[in-house]
Amino acid sequence: MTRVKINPLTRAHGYLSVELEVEGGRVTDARSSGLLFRGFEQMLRGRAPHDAVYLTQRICGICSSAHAIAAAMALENAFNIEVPQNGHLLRNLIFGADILQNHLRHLYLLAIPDYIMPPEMGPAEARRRGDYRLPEVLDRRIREHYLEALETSGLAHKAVAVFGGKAPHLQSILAGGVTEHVLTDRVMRFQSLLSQIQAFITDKLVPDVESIARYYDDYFNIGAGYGNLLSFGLFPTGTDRNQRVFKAGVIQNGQTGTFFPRLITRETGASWYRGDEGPQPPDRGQSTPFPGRAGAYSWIKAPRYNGEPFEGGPLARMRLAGLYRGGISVMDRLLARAVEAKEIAGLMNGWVRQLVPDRPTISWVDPLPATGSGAGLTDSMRGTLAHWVSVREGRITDYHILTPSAWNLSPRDENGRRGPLEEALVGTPVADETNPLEAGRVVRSYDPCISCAVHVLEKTACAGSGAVPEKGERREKNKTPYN
Amino acid sequence: MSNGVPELLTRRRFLRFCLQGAAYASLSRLLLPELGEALRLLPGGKPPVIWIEGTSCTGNSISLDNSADPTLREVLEEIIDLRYSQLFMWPEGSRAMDVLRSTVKDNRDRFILVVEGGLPLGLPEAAVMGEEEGRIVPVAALVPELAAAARAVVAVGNCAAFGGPSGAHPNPTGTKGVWKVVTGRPVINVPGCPAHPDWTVGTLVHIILYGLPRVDSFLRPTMFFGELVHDRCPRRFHFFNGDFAAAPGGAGCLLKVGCKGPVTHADCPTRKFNDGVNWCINANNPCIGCAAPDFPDGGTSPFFARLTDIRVPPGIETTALTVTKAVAAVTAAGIGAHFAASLATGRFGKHMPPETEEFRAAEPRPQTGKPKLSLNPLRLLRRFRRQRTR
Repeated sequence: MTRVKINPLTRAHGYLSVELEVEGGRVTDARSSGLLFRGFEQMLRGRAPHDAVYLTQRICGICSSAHAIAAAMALENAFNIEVPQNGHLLRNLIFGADILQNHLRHLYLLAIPDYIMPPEMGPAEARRRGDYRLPEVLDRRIREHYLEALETSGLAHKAVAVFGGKAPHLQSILAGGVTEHVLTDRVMRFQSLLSQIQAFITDKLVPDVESIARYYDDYFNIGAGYGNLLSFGLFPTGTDRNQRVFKAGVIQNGQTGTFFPRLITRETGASWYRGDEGPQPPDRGQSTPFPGRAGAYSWIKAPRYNGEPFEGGPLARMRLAGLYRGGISVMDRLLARAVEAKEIAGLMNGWVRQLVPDRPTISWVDPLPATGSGAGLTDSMRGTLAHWVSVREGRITDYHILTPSAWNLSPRDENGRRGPLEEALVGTPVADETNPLEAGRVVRSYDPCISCAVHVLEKTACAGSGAVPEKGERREKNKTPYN
Repeated sequence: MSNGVPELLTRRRFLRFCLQGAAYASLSRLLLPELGEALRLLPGGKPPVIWIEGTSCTGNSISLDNSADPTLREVLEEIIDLRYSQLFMWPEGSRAMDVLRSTVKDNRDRFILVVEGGLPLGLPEAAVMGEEEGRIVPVAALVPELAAAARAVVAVGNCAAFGGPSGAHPNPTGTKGVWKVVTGRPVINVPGCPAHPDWTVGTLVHIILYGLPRVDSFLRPTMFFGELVHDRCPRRFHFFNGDFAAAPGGAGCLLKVGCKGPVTHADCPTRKFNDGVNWCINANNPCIGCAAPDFPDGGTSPFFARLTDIRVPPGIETTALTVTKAVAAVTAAGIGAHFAASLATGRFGKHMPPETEEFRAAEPRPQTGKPKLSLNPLRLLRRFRRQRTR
């Protein structure tokens, strides 16, 4: 048995390390550790409730609109704020454009480089060896599209900014609606940008992913994982925020089921915390960091649904919506992402036509009632996202966030069950242990985002096993040179 | 010309392009061919850039990819040789670390180090960028090490510059800006959450072609951060007319719903974001001061609380409403100048909570570049006389 470590796992948001045990050319066990922490839940305590919508966006630079919308939904839920129809539509358009942006960037800038030969430029490597199968003509075409995508993905963010003020970290979504107005020139500009992006998706993105799937068809049998899929629902249809265009739901053992929010739990079986024994409700948490906890190896906690590990993302949504009929694997995740991009672009064209100029887009409530608590659950680019807020005396007293990557990249739970990514890695063939490119393909099919996954942290926390040094080592480190 | 740059593109012209921002679509396509030619003639070709992330959200890398004129493709093909970037680079694992080390070894004093995200000094393990020989490489230790061999260090985004959201109160990871750690090498701060791609690319190009740009006491390039958002705000006339929006989404001046434009230095009103398509105040939303050194605490928090006791000369302490009454007595231009003067002299600092004062007092204030132009007419006159007598 050989231990293989990929650290840093590049082309991911934030720092991720993956450790594999390889035997007879196959992965027999895997561990994923998130190596970036900031502590947003703590930072939010004591702040004005409205600030949460802008501050939580800073968790992630590629899915900022998702956090803005979840935070706004939580406040609206806490204080019974109604969003005008125009506000709903604008939010869906902003969110939709941001999802297209994310899918473009994920597929071209992060995932596709795993399958093609590099162009001649800085961030690519000069020579590459290993299992790269595309014929030269196709390879060259996709390589050119990679360079084009460096430009087109900026257009998608430009579309976000038309109604979002700026991107990333947009400034227009608030509890109650959107501050930007429905003006004809803006609508026109948005539509023009949308059609450019849509053309790129249908003419290049979808065919490119399909070609890659044709040449790498064994990846339909790699990275299946548990096969448990979860969605909180995406895009509210109107004033009832629980009615979604892509409906919430669960797929387990091939059976589709209803989603019940009360079945979500958060465990700390293999994470560096103590205080919470057993599964805890996700909107509360008493756990404090426990340096050097035996068997722990990640700062990410382990969210579970009905006690089981679940993955979220475009594959879960498209399968639940009946728009994608494949299985669950590396290639299915990439294909479902391409299908979703095409689908959302089409939906957005419909929403643009429903906008009514000169109607209100926001119902602003300030000051908010002094006390309240609420939840904002929505799907985002990578899967399921939830914000829980508690307000007392006009200030946030408690804030909890459960992100898609916490689900997808979670470590083992109390029962020692692997997280979805870890399970998906088991069984992956590794031809060359010094260059485990197959594992990289499995990891990136989840579009990992460690910036999102870890945000809880106490100052005294540290150490353990694995990638982080032992307790004594750290103390020594703290003295020099940066203190 | 410095750095052996031929007279193709003078510094004066380049600065004009940067300053005029929106008018010329920033570093416009007109500029790029000249720029490319000038860079080709540099000894050694495009300079290597190493982009390291600390406690970051990758928002500044994404923002760089939003660059419109030039696009990131043009930046990578024509302007810089981006060798290491967690987000964009193709190699992974140990091969990525090899790229980093070999770039530093082969380009000592030549590569530019860009840092995105803060340095978690209180908890170095909070950002671990990789592993070498079985040992972790914490960013807080790596950045000073790399900086010692770099030509210059550019801190992109508010976290890298001042701690920003990653170091927000109570700052669980003890995150600080790069300038608190790096000594002996020039540091340029390019704040903003995220930094506008023009600010990032413009600063890099200035360093490559002309050397270090002129900076203010917070080490921000004055070509981008020389003025307050309020100075060129398109809603400045609403401010003077006392026409204030009652809620975000309103049409008037957004001061009463928390606009931090009067205390935030950045050229957003002329440059705008995402290829000039929109920006915060244009989206009827108050500036939250995302480029200010104390963001998201101090004077910028809460985001929707209005800046109170704004002082305007001659020494009247007043609220925004009485400011407008005072305006009736003085000409708009006159008060505008006074207002600017009060900002330059730091009177706006007065409204900030104690922790901001502490923050400011604790900041080192290295003075680089030429001394700031004083707005005091007496001093200007004296200077003028001195020059004449010489």
